[in-house]
Amino acid sequence: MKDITVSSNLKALQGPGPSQGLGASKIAPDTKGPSFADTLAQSLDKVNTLQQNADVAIQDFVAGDTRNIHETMIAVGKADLAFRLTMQVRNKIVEAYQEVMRTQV
Amino acid sequence: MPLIDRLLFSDAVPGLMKKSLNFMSTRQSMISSNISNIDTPGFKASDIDFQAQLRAAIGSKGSLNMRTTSEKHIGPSDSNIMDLAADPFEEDSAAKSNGNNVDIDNEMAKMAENQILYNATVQLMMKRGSTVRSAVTELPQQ
Repeated sequence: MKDITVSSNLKALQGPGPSQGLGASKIAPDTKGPSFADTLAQSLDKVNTLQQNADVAIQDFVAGDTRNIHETMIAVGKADLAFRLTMQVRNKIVEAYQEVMRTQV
Repeated sequence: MPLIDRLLFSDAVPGLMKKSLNFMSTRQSMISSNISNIDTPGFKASDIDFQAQLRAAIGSKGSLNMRTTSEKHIGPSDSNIMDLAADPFEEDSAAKSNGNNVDIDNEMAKMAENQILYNATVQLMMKRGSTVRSAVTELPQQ
């Protein structure tokens, strides 16, 4: 989703109003909070990081470097959950886009 | 490398888990043979330290993530993991009077630990596989 066309399309979809990003609580009409597209990109990076952490946790477990099995399970579970959440978010976005495209002009 | 292999099976971590499962089941049979030979005169208990072998194999490669040194290489070059063979050594506990050195408490404890590790590894493998499967089968609404 670092694709430029996707980001610019998302920004176009938002319209001219201020964007409700993660930190934009005080709203002046031209406040620059993180845009929705940036939030999405950050979330995808985070999901990727979680997957890599889970892989490292599995490696450590197999090589005997960790004596806490629950840490490995938790790391893998977090990665799995974050991934499934992202999948559903993607589904909803696609559904919303299709809904918009179906609008009769 | 075939497309399916490249897409689905080119991670190094599942191969690592599979290798460790092989080692653990080998270790299980060694431990049970130790236990069944508890009264055999002159029998020395043996064991394998697969975790040290795996640690060495992982450490020598740095990270196990796919990193190719030439464009012609696709997929992990994890042959040094796949080629690991079990390396049994003899336990050096004190021998009883008939030359047998099987320590039953130690062997039972090792067996319990091995089973826990085995079950945990199998569960991790299933969980990881279900993540990939959910990527394949989650369909957006049409």
